[in-house]
Amino acid sequence: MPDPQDNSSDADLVRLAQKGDMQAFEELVARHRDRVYARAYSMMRNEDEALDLSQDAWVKGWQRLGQFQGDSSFVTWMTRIVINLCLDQLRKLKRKRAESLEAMEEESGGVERQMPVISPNPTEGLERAELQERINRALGQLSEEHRTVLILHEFEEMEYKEIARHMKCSIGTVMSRLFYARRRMASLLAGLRRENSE
Amino acid sequence: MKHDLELKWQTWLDGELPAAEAEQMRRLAASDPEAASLLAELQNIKTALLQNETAVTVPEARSFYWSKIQRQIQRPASVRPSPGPAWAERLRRWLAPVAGLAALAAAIMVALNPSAPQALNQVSVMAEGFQTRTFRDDSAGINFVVFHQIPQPSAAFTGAAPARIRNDGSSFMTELE
Repeated sequence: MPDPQDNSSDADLVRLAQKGDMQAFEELVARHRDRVYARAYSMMRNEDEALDLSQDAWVKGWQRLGQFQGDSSFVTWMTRIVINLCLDQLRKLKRKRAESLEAMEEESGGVERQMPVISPNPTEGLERAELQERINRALGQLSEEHRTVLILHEFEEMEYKEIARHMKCSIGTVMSRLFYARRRMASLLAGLRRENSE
Repeated sequence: MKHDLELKWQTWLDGELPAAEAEQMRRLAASDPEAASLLAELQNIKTALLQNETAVTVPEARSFYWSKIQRQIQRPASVRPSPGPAWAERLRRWLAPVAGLAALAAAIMVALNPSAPQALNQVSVMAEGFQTRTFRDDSAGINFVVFHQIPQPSAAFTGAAPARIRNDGSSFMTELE
């Protein structure tokens, strides 16, 4: 027998959950768990960490349900929670690592600074599945900062100042990271195209 | 091309420039081939990423995934560390150093009192969140007083402070180490 809550809107389920209805909250989890997990996975690139952080995000979501005013969709609100948890985790991991050459090149652009403009378009004419697979591989080769800024700007459609607030850095740093992240992506995608054509 | 200008092109591409500046950049882009090629590269990546994120799904069954969330939500509040009422915390913070000083004073009085037993091995004074132990070395004429904090959340007195009371026959000296 189908659950009567299956047909309820997110807004109805949120209202019930805000009154303490855990079944309604479970339905929200079931509906949006993939998206929340996917965001955690895209940022952490690790299945176990993504699982833990996405589940922590749902626990935090339950605890903060009273603060949800409906200014954005519920899933957007939940995604922001998991993004913040991932950023906190990445910061903790970063603190444990020694200052690296990669970190120093982060702001200055490293090799991307001297890189010629990539032409023709390395993504042109690809089937969607192939394009997605290459984008995923290229994202995996970016530094955490470059990957994060791309995810927040291109997938989450955040503005510079919102990204700066989440990443706890200046707007100038966001702009610089985004610029070099795009240039690096162009280079990586061109490399993958060459690999496949050989 | 200077990096500032590169970033400005990007800002224009992302629609984050004010309208007046955006119009200026649009005119400039039409007459600058270097800028045009850079913009094309940035735009290609922006377009490719749009709507092309790989779909990922939770690698666990619905009930299994939910069960961990449910357990954390339903975890009893008593399990979580609780600082207790504010007045009790303030009282405890005030009492801890006072109890420590009282214990030190008691140890000094015992050492000064000629009628006190000379073979004082250990005096133990307990106070809330705080413990002192006094050891006597008769041959050297030294009392050792050790302050020890009993681990508690957010205790005000944070250090174990061994103090040495030296009895040289005519005067006493307390040394904190």
